[in-house]
Amino acid sequence: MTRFAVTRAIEGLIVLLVMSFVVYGLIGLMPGDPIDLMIASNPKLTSADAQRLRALYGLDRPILERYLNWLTAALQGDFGYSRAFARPVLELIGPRLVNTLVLMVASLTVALIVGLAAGLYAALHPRSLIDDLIGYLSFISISTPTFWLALLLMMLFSVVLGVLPASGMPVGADTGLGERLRHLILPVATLSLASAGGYTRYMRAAMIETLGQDFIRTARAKGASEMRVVLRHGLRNALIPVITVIALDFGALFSGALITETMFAYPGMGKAIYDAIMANDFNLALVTLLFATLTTLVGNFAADLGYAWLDPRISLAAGRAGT
Amino acid sequence: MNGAALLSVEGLVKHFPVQRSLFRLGRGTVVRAVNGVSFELRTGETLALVGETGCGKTTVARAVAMLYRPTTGRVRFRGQDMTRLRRRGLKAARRHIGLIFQDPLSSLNPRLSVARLIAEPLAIHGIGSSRQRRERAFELAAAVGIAIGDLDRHPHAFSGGQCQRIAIARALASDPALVIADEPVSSLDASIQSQVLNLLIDMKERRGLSYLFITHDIAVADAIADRVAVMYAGRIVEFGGRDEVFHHPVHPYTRALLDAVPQLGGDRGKARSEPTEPPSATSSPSGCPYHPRCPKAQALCKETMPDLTSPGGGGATLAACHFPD
Amino acid sequence: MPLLWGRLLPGGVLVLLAALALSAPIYEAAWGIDPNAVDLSQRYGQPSLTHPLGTDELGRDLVARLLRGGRVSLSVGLVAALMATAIGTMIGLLAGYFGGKLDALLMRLTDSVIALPLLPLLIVLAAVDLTKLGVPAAIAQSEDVSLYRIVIITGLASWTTVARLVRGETLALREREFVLAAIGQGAGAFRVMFVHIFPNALTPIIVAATLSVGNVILFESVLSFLGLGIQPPIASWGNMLTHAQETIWSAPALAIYPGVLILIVVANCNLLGDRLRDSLDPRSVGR
Repeated sequence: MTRFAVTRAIEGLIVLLVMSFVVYGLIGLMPGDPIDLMIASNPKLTSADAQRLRALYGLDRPILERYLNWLTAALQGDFGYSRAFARPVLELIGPRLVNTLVLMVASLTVALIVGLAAGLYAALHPRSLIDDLIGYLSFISISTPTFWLALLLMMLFSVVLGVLPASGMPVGADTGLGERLRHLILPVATLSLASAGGYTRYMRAAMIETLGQDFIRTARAKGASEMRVVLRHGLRNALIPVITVIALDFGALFSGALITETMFAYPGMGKAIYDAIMANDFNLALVTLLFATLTTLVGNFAADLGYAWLDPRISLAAGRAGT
Repeated sequence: MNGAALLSVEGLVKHFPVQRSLFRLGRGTVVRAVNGVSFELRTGETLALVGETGCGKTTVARAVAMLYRPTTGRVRFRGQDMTRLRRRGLKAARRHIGLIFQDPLSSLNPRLSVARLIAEPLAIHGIGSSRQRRERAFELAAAVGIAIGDLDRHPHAFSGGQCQRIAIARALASDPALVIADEPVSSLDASIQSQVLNLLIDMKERRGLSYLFITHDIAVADAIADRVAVMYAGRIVEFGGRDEVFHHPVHPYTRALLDAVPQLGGDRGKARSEPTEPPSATSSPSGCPYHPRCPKAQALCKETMPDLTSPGGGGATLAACHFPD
Repeated sequence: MPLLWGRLLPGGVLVLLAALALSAPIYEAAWGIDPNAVDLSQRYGQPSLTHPLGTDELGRDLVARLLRGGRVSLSVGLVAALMATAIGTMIGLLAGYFGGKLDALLMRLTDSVIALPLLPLLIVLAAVDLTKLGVPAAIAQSEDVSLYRIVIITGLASWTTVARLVRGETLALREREFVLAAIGQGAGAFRVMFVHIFPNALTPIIVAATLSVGNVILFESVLSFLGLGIQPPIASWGNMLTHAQETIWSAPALAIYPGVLILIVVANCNLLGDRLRDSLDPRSVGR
């Protein structure tokens, strides 16, 4: 188990390192470069100045060398300055990361409760009217563009009903908790509705598969109560594949968070990434992207550990010979 | 019958690593499918490898065809060590080996027409133009008894027996010297079995082939083999001429095997050994692998693995037993 | 999913929509409409005889925009899904056939791509300045380049499902006797992969390709919506929604139609994929 965790952690770090290089390279390919932008904002700079500045910032060096310089600085906690905000990138990231985690954790919780419950119910009542209904709703959930879902919810709750704010999470420290929560409702609803359909489908399929297996029949034959069979034997085994899928879906969840944050002007990492890229804020874009990757990798890692914890074969395998 | 060795297998060992879980935890155990097998196959003869399911005979066949790389050991075919050949050399050598598998339908690619299936070895080795290959497929189909009008159909349109005829035609397409047939008739109905066996015997005589013939069915081996190797737990336990092995077995395992076949075993009475659990391929017992099932087992059998030697009764048979009959 | 609709109905819906999208020029000729003609005097026009569904925020005919957008979204979806399928098939075949270290490497790559937050990365890719990659400015700034770029980007994002699936199929097929027969007769890796394994894995590949069409269209729509995909004046269902956030107050219909069309297309792709998969499932057919 420990060895498994360590291996996965190392793999995650390698992915992060590779991603940092890829993203560094891609960011360098975005339109304009920092010196051009400086020249644009300061007409007194000549092309000779530009050359000197380029050399000063090391922008005339090969990409690998620039990357290694960046990496060395980054590993010492220096991620550079945000051009748009004129502040160290790291300072900007903290509150946004918290906001995104709040959004993602809240949405994941809602989506899991809704999805797993609906999937479980559908699996226990296959081919019933409610099963059909759940099937269609989850189908619509996986087929609807998240940004359009956000538009529809805005239209319904802000425009037609006028009960919820469409955007603009208040940032000030004096904002009351209630006001903050009110601003969270639509983003969380969007993101959880977008993910719940997938979870429902996985859960239903896994549960139906599990309930058809021999050990369930054995448990029933032994006279265990239906509740016990379903919850103790069925659910635990059905959750194993579901957790894997949820782990693989963390990246998608973050993508959904980006859309949701952008739509509702919610000040999180996703919106920061989008804004930074649109504003050519290279340092901020680079670091927010890497933090996004890190977030999903950590989520993945946690789910992997949960998987190992739930699946008895993994912990037992080390001490057992043969198959 | 007395030709030179076409194929000689020396000390063939094949272990398969066991992957225990998704995450490869724990040290690797292995399945010892083949545990030191040596034999020679002479030009023009049919050598039958017989034994129960799981004794390693299919693994031997596949290792000889280099479908599995042997763990150790040599496979000399036409004087070349196949285990040392790479890509081009191996490809060239494979032209001279025909393969026939147990399940005729699954050994034919369902997406190809029968004409293409039969001609595939020719296409692989770039023999002839596509027109010539098609003509050759027609000849081969006629030789194995498949109607020429059916050659553009796909394997699903044929019965099991017909599919096996197609597979035989394919195996013969590149004029091989050796045909390795792995249980070629055991999935067929009894009446079809003898037809296909007769076809194999007929082809062998007309084309001067040699067969490495794998079967669990003693009656089939009796019908086609010149010599017989009996395998148990990844080893050859008895090896000799068909008549000697089947009528005067010296290894207790061979005897038990024959006792299970009424028409061959004659009136030897009830099986002498109580068939117990077949040996586990991952944890074989020390000493002779057959000793837990053997009625004649003694202390020596539990400690030392007997070599495959002549038991000394004057016969040409070899047996791996401390106390042969 | 129960069979409320006929088995192939989703396919029929898609064909119908594609036919409608292809008939855009006929509609434009019949109504005498230029889909890109801006007419500021006609902004937010109500449905009328000249404009059956009204006009958008720049006074362009909505029906013509929707049909043109459908052409773009559907063809991007199809081409990018084909590309994704080709990439995924190659990777899956190589990993499954050769196994060992190559398999481990390719599958780690696939798993990593699956685990990544794709959308932010696609946004970066969409923002890349092609002139910095040595593409001549004349090409990099032409209108069509946004089309090619989006095809490549969404294709790059969608190959993973196909790769895992093809690898699984390859692993299973590799042990089948007809593949062993081909190898034993001397067939090389290329021949085994493309003559023996690929054709027999074709049905699940088609299922995965169908599902990825829906996926690609979703990616295309969100990138175009964010202003990073298909660039105006070329219409796509995604970029028709770019200004919807402002127009939901005044002209909600503009925000509804393109989204409904995306939903219909994606849902039908997914439904068709599901149906095809069900009909291939050995448990439902029996072998």
